[in-house]
Amino acid sequence: MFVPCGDSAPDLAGCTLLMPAVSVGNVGQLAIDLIISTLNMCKIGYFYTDCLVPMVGNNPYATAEENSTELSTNAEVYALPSRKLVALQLRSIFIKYKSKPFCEKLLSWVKSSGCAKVVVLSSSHSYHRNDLQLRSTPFRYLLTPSMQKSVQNKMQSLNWEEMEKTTCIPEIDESELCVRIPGGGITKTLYDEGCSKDIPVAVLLKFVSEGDNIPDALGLVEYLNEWLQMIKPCVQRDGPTAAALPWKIPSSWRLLFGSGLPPALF
Amino acid sequence: MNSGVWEEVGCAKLWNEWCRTTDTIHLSPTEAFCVFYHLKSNPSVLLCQCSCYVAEDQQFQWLEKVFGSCSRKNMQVTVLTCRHVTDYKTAESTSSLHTPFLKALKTQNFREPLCCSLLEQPNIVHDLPAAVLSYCQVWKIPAVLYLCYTDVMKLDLITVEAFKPVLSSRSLRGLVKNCLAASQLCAAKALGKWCSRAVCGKHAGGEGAGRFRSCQRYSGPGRSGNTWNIPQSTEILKKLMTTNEIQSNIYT
Repeated sequence: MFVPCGDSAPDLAGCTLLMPAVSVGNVGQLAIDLIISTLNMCKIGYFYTDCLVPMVGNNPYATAEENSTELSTNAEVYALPSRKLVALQLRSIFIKYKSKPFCEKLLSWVKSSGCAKVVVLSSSHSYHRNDLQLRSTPFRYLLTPSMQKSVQNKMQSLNWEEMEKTTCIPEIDESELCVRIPGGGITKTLYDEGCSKDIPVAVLLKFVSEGDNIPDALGLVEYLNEWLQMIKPCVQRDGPTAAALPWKIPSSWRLLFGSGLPPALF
Repeated sequence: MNSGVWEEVGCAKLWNEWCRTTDTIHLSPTEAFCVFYHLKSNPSVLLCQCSCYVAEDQQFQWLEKVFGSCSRKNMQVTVLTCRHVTDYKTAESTSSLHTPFLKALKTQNFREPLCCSLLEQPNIVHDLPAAVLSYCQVWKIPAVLYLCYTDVMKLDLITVEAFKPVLSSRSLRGLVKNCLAASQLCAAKALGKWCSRAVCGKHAGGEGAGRFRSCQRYSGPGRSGNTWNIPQSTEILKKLMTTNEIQSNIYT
């Protein structure tokens, strides 16, 4: 499944794997794009799998003529060895019935490669929120048991909200409570697999609606950054305005809503 | 294919909801949808004529079956396909573009000069051509995709002529005897998802030995000098156009 770019497999022991779930608004994928682009991560390998719809295009993080000609596929792995960060980017949807096999293959690769933890960036339909969720922050986190031991205190110190359990059958109040992530794609599957296989998985998600989800992606990476401290804010010289984090928008985000319009339309 | 003698060596049969041929329409050989030919004078040169849509859940298996049976050493792949120009993303309106035009995508190991400009971000390619290119990129096989953006839904000579620069490329010109005539005869096939030519071959060294392009099938002897027999070109063109019409709407 994982095919390295070079001749030998890279050493991922102790690294943190960041990955998206293909979910509502594609927020997780946009967030991973921002991380790879801002941290200038380099490609270390591909996931060659029959689980995702094939697609190709030129380097989505191109900054100049020289680096714009590298071909990119639907599932690629990037790394920043100095920070022990690895990012998996998924660029297409799952083929029918293949999402669970993908999760199983992915997590077994995570285990065999020695990654310290997995962070899944995801989103959930905002219209599914209950009254309590509507009144609070739109960000939530979830931790598998093996992750809770090491990280729960940090989450509490950051005042983060854990994803609430809701009734398994929405209309019936007496049914069991469980975690539901509508619109979250493989998020729940990854979380359940992580629990059963004892893999440290953290899920960070935002309640979103479809639309222009760039602000949601920026919100999600800043939420992640509160914990992982991937980048520091740049100091603003003029006045006490809050320092902005210098996220770099990838060149491939151009024309997100289609080509230019014909002038004859107006 | 009119430039040499091609022998059929295999086929990849598949069925999906897009395959709606009737009994009276036969793509030779009967019922085969992806036909493989090799050049008799140089059997390491292979051509695949793909006249149907390979569905997304069939693409991986198609690749494993086709590429799994040949050695990756010294292989080079050329893919020719078409898309409608409305698929092309650009800052200006697509109605102001001069169609048809050619764009290319290549894998990391492809070192030859290209016949046209590269496909700019944020444009992407899907379907079988993308599956082929992904396979080649991952397994480090030199491969190039030439993609023609056109504004017509039916096959026409103007769209086909857009591929002319490809015929003059270093890898293909040894396989095409008369570029001008060949481009007029060639039905480099139609549009959208249901037809793309995957063309692959082993690069046995030397000009033209590695690749070829797909044209309609040549049949019958009797070619002299620069005059070309057109025994089946019109027939095959008609067949391809009818197939395209049938497959253009799965609900009819």
